[in-house]
Amino acid sequence: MHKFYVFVVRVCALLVAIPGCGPAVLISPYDEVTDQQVTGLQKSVDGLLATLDRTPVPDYASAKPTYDQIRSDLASLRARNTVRTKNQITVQQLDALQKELQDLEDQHRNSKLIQVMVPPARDTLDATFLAILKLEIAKKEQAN
Amino acid sequence: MALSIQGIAEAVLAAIKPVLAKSWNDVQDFAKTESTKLAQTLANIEQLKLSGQIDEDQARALLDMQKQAMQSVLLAVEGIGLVTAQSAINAGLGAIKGLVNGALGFPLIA
Repeated sequence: MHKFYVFVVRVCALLVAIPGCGPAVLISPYDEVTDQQVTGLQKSVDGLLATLDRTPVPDYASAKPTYDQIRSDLASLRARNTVRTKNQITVQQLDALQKELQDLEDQHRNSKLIQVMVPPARDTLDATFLAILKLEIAKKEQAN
Repeated sequence: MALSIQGIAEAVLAAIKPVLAKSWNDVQDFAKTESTKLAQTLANIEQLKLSGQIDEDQARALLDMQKQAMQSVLLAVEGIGLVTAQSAINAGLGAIKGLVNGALGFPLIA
C-alpha cells in the first residue's frame, strides 16, 4: 500500500509541481471572450467575402477599411490568447488564420483576386474558423 | 490528371491516425469530415488552374490558404486530444481522491 501512495504523490508532483495536487492542466481552459471574438471575426470575414463574390470583384481601395478592421480585431484576439497559459495551439491557429487573410488581401491588392477564387478562399477560411471554435468548444464541454 | 478527393482525404487521415492513436475515438469524426472537405477544396483549386481560370500565382495563394487551414484542423485535433487526456487524468485523480486524502489525513489531492 505504501508503494501506492508513493506513486500517487509522484504523479501529483509531476502534474502540478506545487504543494498539494490540483487538477491536471494540459491545455488552457475555455475562454468565453475568445469564443465570442472568433465568432465576431468570422462574421466580419463572411461579410467581406460576400462583397467580393461578384464580377468584377470590387477594387481593393473600397475593401481596405474592412481588411484593416479585421486585421486589428485579429491582432487583439491574438494578443489576448498569447497571455493565456498553455494556449500555444490556439495561438498557432490564429497565426494560420492571419496568413490566410494576408494571402487573400495580397491577391486583392495586386488586382489578382477574381470571383472564382472566392468560394475556395471561403472554404479554407471556414475550415480554419471551425477548427478554432471546435477546440474552444471542446474545452467548454470538458469543463462542464 | 485530376486529383482524387478520396485519395487525398485518405492520405491525410492515414498520416494523422497513428499520431493521435490514443484519442482517435474522440477526434475521428471531425478529422474525417474536415479532411474530406479540404480535399474537395484542393481539387477545386486544381480544376480552376487546369481550366485556365487562374494562373500559378493565384493557385499558389489559394494552396497556401489551404495549407494553413489544414494546419488549423490538425492543431484542433491535437488540442482535442489534450482535452481528452486532461479529462482522463482528472477523472483518475477524482476516483482516488477520497481514498488517498483519507488515508493521509490531509487533502493531498485537491
